[in-house]
Amino acid sequence: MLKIENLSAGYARHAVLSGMDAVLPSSSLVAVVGRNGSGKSTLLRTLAGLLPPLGGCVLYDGTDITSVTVTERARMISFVSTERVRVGGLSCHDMVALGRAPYTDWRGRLSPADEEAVRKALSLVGMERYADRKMDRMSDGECQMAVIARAVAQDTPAIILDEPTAFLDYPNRCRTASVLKSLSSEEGKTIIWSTHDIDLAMGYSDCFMIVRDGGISLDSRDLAGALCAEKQENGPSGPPSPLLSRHIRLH
Amino acid sequence: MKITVLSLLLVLLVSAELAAGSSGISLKDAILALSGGDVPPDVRTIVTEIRATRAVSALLAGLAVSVCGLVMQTLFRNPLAGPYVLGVDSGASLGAALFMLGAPVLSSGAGAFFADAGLAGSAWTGALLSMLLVAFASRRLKDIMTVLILGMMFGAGVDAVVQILQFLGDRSSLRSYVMWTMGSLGTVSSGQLPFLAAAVCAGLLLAAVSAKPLNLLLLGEEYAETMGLNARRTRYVIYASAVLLAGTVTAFCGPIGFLGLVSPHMARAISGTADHRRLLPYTAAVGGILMLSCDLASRLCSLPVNVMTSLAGVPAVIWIVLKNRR
Repeated sequence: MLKIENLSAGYARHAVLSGMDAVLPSSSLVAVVGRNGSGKSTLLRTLAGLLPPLGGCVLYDGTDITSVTVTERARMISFVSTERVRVGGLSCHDMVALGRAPYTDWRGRLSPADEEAVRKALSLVGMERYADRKMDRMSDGECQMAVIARAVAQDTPAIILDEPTAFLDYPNRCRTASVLKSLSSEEGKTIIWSTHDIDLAMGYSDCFMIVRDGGISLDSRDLAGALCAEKQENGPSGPPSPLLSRHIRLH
Repeated sequence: MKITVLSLLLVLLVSAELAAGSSGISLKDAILALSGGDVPPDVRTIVTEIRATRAVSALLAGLAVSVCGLVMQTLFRNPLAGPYVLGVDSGASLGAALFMLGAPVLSSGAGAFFADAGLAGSAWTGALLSMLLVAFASRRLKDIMTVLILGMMFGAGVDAVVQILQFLGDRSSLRSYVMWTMGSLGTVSSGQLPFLAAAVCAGLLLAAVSAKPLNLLLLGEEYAETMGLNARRTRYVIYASAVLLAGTVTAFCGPIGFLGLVSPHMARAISGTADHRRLLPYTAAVGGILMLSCDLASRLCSLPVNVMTSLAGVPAVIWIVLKNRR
C-alpha cells in the first residue's frame, strides 16, 4: 500500500505540486493523467525516490522512502522512465537480470533464485523467446517490454512507470496496459503509470490520479475529470477532444 | 575461448618486444636473462633494463588507457568518450608541464622518487580537474556532440597554456618537456616502472570492483539509482580509476591518442557483450595488443609511438562514428 501525506513535489525551492494526499492500495493500477507540464513526471519521480519531497512524505507499507538506503528503496519501488532504452550488445536476459541488482553481491552474480525471477519476469510480459536476443536487434515495443520485465524482476511491491506507452504503436500500447493490469491484479502490486491514453487507461486502470492546478485529485474512473484535465488549457473553443484527435493521428 | 586467443596474442607480442632490437639478442637469450640463466652481464642489462621495461610499460599503458576509455564511455553514456578526446590527457599534460617547466628546482633537487611522484601527482591533479569539468558539462548538456566539442576546445586551450609555459620556460626544463611530449615508451626507466605499475594496477582494481555499477549505468544514472546504486559514490570511484589510469600513463609515457576510444569498441565487437564483467578483461587485452603492436611498428619505423597510435586510431574512430550514425 502506498500512502501520500501532505506531499509537496518540485525542484530546488520551486514547488510544482503541493498539499497532496492519497492512499493507493495494493493490487491496484493507477493512471496518472494531466496536461504536459502539469507535473506528472515530477510527481512520479518523487514517488520513486529520485526527487526528494519538498514537504510531507511518501510511505510504502508505513515506511518513509527517504528514511531508507538506496538499496532498500530499490527493493520497495521499481521505476520505468520516459527514456527509450536500447543498449547495443546487451541481451534481453541480461537487461532483465539488471533488475536483480538490489539482491545480488558486489559482482552481480545471479543465484538460481535470481535466474528464476528473471525467467518469471520474462514470461509475465511474454518475452521468454527473446531472452537471448540483443537489444539492438529488437523493436521499440520489444525493448520497452524488456525494460518493464526488468522492473518486474526487481520484485518490488510497487512499480512506477512514466509514460510507458508514449512511443509505442497501438497494439503495443494495449499489450503494455494489459501486462500492467495483470501485474497488479495477479501479482498484487501497486502500479502507477502516467499516460495521455485516456481510453486505454479507462479500459485497464482501477483509478485515475488527475494532476492539475498544482495538486492531485483521486477518482475511480472519473472520465469527465480526466478529459477535463487533458483539455483544460485548450478552452471551450480549442482543438477537438484529445480522444478524437488521437484517433485522427492514429489512422 | 576468444579471450584465450587474445591472451596468446599478447604473449606473442610481448615475446616479440623482448626479441626485437638492434643488439641482436635472441628471444632465447632474453628469456634466459629474465629467468636468471647464464648470460653475459651486458645482455642481462639490455634485456631487463631496456626491452623488458619497454614491453611492460607498453602493456601497462595499453591496458590503462583502454580500460579508462571503457569506464568513461559507460559513465558518460557517450560512445565517443575517451581520455584523449575529452581532454583528460590534456589536463594531465598541463599538470605535468606545470611541474616540469615551473618547478625545475623541485624536481632536480629532490630524489628521483620525489621527481616521479611529483610528476605523477601533478598529472593526476590536472586529469582530475579536467575530468570534473567534463562531468559537469555532460550533466548539464545531454548532447554528446556538444560535450565532445567542449572537450576539444578545452584541449586546445590547455595546449595554448602549455605553449606559453614553453615560451617562458628555461632551456633545460624546456628540453625535458619536449622530450616528454614526444614521449615514447622507451623513456620509462626501470626505476619508474614499479610506480607506473602500482598506479595502473590500483586504477584497474577500482574499475574491476565497479563492474556491477557500470552495468547498471548502461541504463543511465537515474535507472541505476532506482536499482539500488549509490550513484555519487560510484561516480567518485570511477573518476578515481580513470584519473589514476589516464593520468599516470600520460605522466610517464606522454599522451597516447585514440587508443582509449578504440579498444572498448573493438572489445565489444569481439566479445559480443555489453556486460562489464566480461568486457573489462576483453578491453584490457585488446588495449595491450594494440599498444604492443603500435610500439613494435613505431620501433620498426623509428617514430614516436604516439604518432603510431594516432595513425592507426584515426581510421578506427571514423569507423566508430559511421557505425554509430546508423
